[in-house]
Amino acid sequence: MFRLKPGVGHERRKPMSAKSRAARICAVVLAVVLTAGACGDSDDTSSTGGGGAEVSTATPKAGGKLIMGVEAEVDGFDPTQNRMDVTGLTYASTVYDALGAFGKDGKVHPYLAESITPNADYSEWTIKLRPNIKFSNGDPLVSDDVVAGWNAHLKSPLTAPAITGYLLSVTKVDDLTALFKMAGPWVPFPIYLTGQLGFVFSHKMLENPKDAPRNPIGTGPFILKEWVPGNHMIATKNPNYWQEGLPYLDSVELRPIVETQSRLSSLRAGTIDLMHSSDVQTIRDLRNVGSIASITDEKVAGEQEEHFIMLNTAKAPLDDVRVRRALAYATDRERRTDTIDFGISPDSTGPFGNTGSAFHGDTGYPDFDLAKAKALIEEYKTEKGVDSVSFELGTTNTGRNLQDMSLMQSMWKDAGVNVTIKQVQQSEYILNALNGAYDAYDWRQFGEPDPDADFVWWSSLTASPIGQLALNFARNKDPQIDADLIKGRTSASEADRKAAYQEIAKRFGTDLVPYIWLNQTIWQIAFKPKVKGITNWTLPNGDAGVDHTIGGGFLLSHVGVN
Amino acid sequence: MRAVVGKVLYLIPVLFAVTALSFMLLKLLPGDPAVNILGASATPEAVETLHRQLGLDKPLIEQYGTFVNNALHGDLGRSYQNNQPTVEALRQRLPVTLELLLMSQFLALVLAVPIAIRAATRPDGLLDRISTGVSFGFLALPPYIVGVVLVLLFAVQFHIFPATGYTPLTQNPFENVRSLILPSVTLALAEIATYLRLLRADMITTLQEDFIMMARAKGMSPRRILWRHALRPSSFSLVTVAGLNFGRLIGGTFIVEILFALPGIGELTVQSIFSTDYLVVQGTVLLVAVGYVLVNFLVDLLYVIIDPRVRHAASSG
Repeated sequence: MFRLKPGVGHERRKPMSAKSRAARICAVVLAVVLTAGACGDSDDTSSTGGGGAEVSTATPKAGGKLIMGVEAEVDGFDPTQNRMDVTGLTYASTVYDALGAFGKDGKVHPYLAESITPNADYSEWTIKLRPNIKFSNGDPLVSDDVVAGWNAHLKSPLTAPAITGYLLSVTKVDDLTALFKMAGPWVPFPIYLTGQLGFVFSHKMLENPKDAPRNPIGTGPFILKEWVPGNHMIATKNPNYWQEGLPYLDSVELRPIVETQSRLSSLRAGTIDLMHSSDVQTIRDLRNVGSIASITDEKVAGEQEEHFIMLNTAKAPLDDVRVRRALAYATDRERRTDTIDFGISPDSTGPFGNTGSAFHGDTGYPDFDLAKAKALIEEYKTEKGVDSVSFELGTTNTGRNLQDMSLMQSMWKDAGVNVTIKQVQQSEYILNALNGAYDAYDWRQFGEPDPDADFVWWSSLTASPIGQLALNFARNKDPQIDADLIKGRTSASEADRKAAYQEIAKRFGTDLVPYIWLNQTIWQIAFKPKVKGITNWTLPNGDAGVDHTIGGGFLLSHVGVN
Repeated sequence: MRAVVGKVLYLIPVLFAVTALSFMLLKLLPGDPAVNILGASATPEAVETLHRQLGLDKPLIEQYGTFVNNALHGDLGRSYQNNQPTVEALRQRLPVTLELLLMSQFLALVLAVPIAIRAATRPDGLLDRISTGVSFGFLALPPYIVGVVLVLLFAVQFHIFPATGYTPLTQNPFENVRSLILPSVTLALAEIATYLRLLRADMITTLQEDFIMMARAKGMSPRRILWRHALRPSSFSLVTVAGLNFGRLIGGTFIVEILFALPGIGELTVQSIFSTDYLVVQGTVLLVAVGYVLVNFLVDLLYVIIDPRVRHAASSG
């Protein structure tokens, strides 16, 4: 913040020449501008003592419009064709309902489904829909829609990888019931009913796949009225919505505001009512703004998104675990968090973060120890007969990422590792990761509601050699991890599942080190105090809904403005 | 008329060259639209299938030929990302950018012209020195800094204008103007400085001409001399630069539209480049090229109106 120094301007006055008069006028104008900018929220802050506005638990009133600023534009509303990241899920949840939703207990509860029931060994799941629900086009919701939708997912190049091989078939039992048959026990399968795969859409959308992304037909709380890509999406209240009294709002408008600071300014200026962000600078800036309330997913149940350096374990010198371990020892996470993330981001020593997740445990991940790092690098150099250890460290094209990776570069240099930073455009970045055409990449991933969703990222089955597309980007192959992934998927015992995933985290942390953990990503939802229902909403069965789903998404059906 | 036809014919090779070059350059961009669409879970089979669907498996020349052929029939293809027809996307976004450009040019000229005229009448006077200092300041400030300060001041602090967003003129004319004031001022400030300096210098030269002295000798009022007799011959450079500036301003809109979340051509271009949405980028490049050539064509026509010598030369030639 820019502030005027006290005492400036109190020197003895001299008669002013035209030149100095002009200079003074300019100075005064500039001072007014900068002071006003610097003191933008001074009165707001005082009202809350610098802690931000309180999150209200009042029940929302019916009516009104809410404008939300989102971090990106979506590519459409077809769950089988369009990518649904945080923003995509937010858009989609206005027009669709998912079969299941997370409760405050961290478990999946039936939502559009009336019941979600496994057979004795969890190799079959029966999903019964709620009766008398209509799509936005007036058609009744029947099991044919669920069957058609899931069969389309099984053929979709976008969504099939998560279920192919394990979900064998989806068939109709009766008008409201569908049967999901698996290749074997799949205990955490219901988590897939809460997101993109779980959204139920009319089978009629599949008849015209070209128009489907722009013409959603769902049972959701709102009906799409207008979507101008890059500008706004407006959805109006579904008058025939199946949950009585919902949605509270008459309409919602979602506006993509890509630039983080612009989104924040829009919220502070009242141009929008609510926004999401994973930018730590925004989190820091909002801490002292009393006119804005916010929540984060820091402590929410589930698996947090992690920020880490992903190492290509199939490529020298990172194919040697001593080098990878040396990098872990050479990384001063605390210094990095203080320098880059304003001390805000929580530390991370494993794939499940260090806060909130039931699967977190002692991962044995190395703490900063430069001497050990140096020793390991020397050992490697002696054995391999090389003079130096060097590789390329990639990141995407932003100044902040470059700053971050420059710090990593200097820390690793202290251990005797020479790193060249390479900034790469986003789409090439993903392609390189898929092809294994990288050494080390700055990466954010693994923010899933349950570790089972990480199966494809960690399994040896998806770790193809360099040059072939592989979803296991680190190309880390380990029979123990494979066995634990199967155990986590098939075991009905929560304790066994927990043990299996904790063992995976430990294998990552101590024996294999394919990832250099940096910090846990925090997602924040910030809003004007008039926005209600962000944290206190109930599921159709009366149970409490999760405060804040991982990754900054939530159900706009339960939000209102008072 | 012959000159007009000549200019129009000149457009054809220019547009051909621009589209061919941009098409080839876009193909050099790293990344793959199919991977962008499929995301991190792309499998080799899925990528191959999508390449086939999008026509990306065909030779480059064939892809360009298809693009030109379709463009001549008014079809610029569809976005790989959201399947929206490119023509529809351009139609939705063109009014935003046009409005922004026109409003910023209007603001720049409305402020720069009277100040320049006034400053030229008293070179080195108080107004001249203030305007020189301030205009150099504006020139030195990049738009993204100006924009941020304006938003902090007029949106966050005083809540006078919205921080981001755009309201269409047809929806609410008042809100439309409000939504474009800050972006227009952001773009206009640097232009004010350029126009002011340029017109001031030309005016000072013109005011030393014999015909001005003659007008003064005849007892004509200073206002009439400045606005009726000195301004027109002094504005050739201004008009030329205003035309050339069109291209530079489009570059400025790329930043300003992102900063103010305006759904214009600049924002569309940037997002399409990041997502390697070739056909949309190609469409925006084509549109900008046509616009640039047309504006400069209009500037040439304006010379005929401003300068009788050009008019007479054209009619006698």
